[in-house]
Amino acid sequence: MVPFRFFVFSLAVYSAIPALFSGVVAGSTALYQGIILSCIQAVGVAVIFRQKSSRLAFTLLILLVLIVAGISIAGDVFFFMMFLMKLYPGPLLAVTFSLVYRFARRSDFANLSRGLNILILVLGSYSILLVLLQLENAAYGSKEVFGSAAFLLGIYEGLSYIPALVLLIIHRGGSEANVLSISGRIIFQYQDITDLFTSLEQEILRQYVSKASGRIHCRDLSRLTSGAEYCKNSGTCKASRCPAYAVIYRSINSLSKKLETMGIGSVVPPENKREIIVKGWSINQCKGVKITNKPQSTFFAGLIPAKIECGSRQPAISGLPSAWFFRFQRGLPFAVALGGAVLISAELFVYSSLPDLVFLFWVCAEIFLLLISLIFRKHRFQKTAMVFSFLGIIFLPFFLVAWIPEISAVMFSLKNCAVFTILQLSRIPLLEIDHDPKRLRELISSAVFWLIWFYMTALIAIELPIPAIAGRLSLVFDVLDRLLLVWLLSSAVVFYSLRPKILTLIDGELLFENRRLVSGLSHANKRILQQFISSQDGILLCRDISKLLDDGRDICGDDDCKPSMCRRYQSLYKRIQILRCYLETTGIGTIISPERKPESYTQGWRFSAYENVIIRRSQKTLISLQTEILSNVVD
Amino acid sequence: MHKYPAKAAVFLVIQTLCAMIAAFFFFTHRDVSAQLNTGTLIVWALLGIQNESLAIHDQRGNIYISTIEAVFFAAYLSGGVLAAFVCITATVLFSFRVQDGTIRHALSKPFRLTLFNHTHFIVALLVVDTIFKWLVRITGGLLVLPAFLTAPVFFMVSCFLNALFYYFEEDRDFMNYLIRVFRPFYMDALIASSGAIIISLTYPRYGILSSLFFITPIIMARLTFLERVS
Repeated sequence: MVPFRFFVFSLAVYSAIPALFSGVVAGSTALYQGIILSCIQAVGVAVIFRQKSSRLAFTLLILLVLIVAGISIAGDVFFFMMFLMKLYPGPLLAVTFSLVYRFARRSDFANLSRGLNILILVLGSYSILLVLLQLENAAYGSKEVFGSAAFLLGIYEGLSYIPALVLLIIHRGGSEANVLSISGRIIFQYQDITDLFTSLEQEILRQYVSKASGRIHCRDLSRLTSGAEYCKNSGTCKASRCPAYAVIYRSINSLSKKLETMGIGSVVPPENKREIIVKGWSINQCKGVKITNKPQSTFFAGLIPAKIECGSRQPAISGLPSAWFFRFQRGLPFAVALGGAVLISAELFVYSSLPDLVFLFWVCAEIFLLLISLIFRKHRFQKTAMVFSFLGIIFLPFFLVAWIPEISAVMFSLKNCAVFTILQLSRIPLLEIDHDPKRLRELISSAVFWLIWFYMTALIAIELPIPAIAGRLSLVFDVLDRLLLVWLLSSAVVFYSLRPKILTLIDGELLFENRRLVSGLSHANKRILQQFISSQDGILLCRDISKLLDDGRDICGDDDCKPSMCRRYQSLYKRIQILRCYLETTGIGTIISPERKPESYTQGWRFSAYENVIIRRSQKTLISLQTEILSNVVD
Repeated sequence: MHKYPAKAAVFLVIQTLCAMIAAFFFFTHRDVSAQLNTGTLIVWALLGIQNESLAIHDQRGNIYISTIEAVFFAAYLSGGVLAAFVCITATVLFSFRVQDGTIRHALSKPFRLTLFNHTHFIVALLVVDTIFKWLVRITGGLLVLPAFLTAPVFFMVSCFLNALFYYFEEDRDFMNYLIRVFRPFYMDALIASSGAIIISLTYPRYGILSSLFFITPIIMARLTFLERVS
């Protein structure tokens, strides 16, 4: 995709060159700074190139920034590297969001747009703030500051978030409902949906976008149905007597239904159906949907995953996370609470000389307040505990104003709020909160943005009294502050993007989001679905399913089986189609057919859960299923 | 001619009298000369006008969503009661909205609504000023903590007076209206109000420029929201 590559190249130049220029202008010592900044920006851009196929690149970028920030603490020689810490959080988060975007699906686009808005707001405001600070320096500061390299660096710093902003705004544009017809493929919201349509339906869509009139005519399509000879005398054509028209009419109907299901629109005949030959059909697009083939719309098509499976959605590579993942998720809130309390207490210990008893009280109160909402997580006092915890965490630092400056109390209060918010956001994936998730989302939506903004402004614009005793440790806490901010922003973005959903298999029952799932399926289909989900690799061969349905009897004795000649295969194929449709509609995942359909006999069908679907299976369930199958075989 | 409810008229008169007394108190206060900074007054007046003019119309409740209470409180923290008073007056008189292709401003609205809008903010300012000063005194001269505690009061008093006014004028259920107005927006309004504290912290160094630390995200949020709605 040339436009995408061109854009990324321009981004790299924009990001890297000014840093280098600023370094050269600033002098010999800052030259290193400029070079390193350029490298970091270039690596950031490289990540955007690689994100299509690798998460490793993103991890490497984070590591690079952390290492460089770590070096900056090492000694006075690298003191100028403090500047690097101001690189948070724009480019990093733009890349984060790109990754999240990649895995987002149609149903999550509303949330995704909200998340993008938060990022755009934060980065836009932050850029303006940084530029304003430089202008303030120019207006009120000394002449040495104005016109110096520091000023140039400052302006660059303010403008360095523009690429990230552009990236995010384009992403948000991409979340609009555009249907693109490009080089034989049909793309809806940057997902390839060509395989959902028959060849005739694809051609109808292509005809529609290629014509300026925006109408589909029967005679343009008839050549595809071997019915061109019927259209020789178009003046006297009667649709009701034309076999080609009948084929096209059926395709148009089918296409219309598919477009309606996907929320794109519907195919509309003229008011007087007798005029169908002359006037043709048009597509009534849903609000906000554009059907186009404009090449500029392919700008971010490079973000489409390399291989689209089964057309409609992008499934996870593996939808079955390991046990440690659940343990990690379950333990994360406790780690956040304890880690946050320890770090904030350590900072307080460094910055102030509190009496031992007061400090001890602080540590205990901090840990207690952060943990209380976790302790009461399944209790009827949960909401009360959360409100108590929230208010306590905000006002606790103000009890120390006898020993610390008020402004420091504000900062500690902000840090507490940040830790509390991260804690709550990390709990949400576990669905352990009894609140209505939608209501919780609405409540958190603005609160997170304002918190991020205040924290960011406080770090940049408020001058904190730092005691001499703090020494170099203040640098450590500076880094921690920025990391906390990045974590908060990342949590917020993930919170707005893909909400994890839990599929549970307990005692032969499938629960999705704590609701019984298989009530709409026949008994046989239910068993196939359970078998798919319970199998470790999610693969079932044609023979396996046949055994399951025939009470363990293997009727597929012939190894040279030809599915096209097998009635059993035809029946199973229909069942798989029903299950696939069911899984996709409910948002669980999909069933992937082998590339060549006859290979289902040897390669089998593969169940794949979507990226945000977590599957929980009890060992008991697996054993009971296996026992059931074995008993069927024995019988 | 439609008969205007007597209890609503009495309420408006009482509120107007309270606002006049408050205004008299503000202008005759001994600190008022120290607050007379023309630049600050103009900046806050302009910020108030633009904030209210960019208010978002919510069709579900036929109400306008804005963070104007937060702006008034920020003006109060940075410029004192005089700046807040000027900000309120300028906002009510000069803010305008484009709705359905027509411009709505103070002169095109019914007078009683303009009067209510102006006076209820003044009364809320009086309450906030009283509570803030009392809190500063009992906390031994702290500023941020009292500001933090007082910030939500402006929004709450404003909601309370609105509910009371519609209760008298249209016989609407007081608690129902209060909850309907308060519940969806209290988190935004409270946090945005608390954000005014940023100004109190940055004002000593950045002067009136500190208002931009607060206003910038509001404008950005408003523009983003408007774009999304459109």
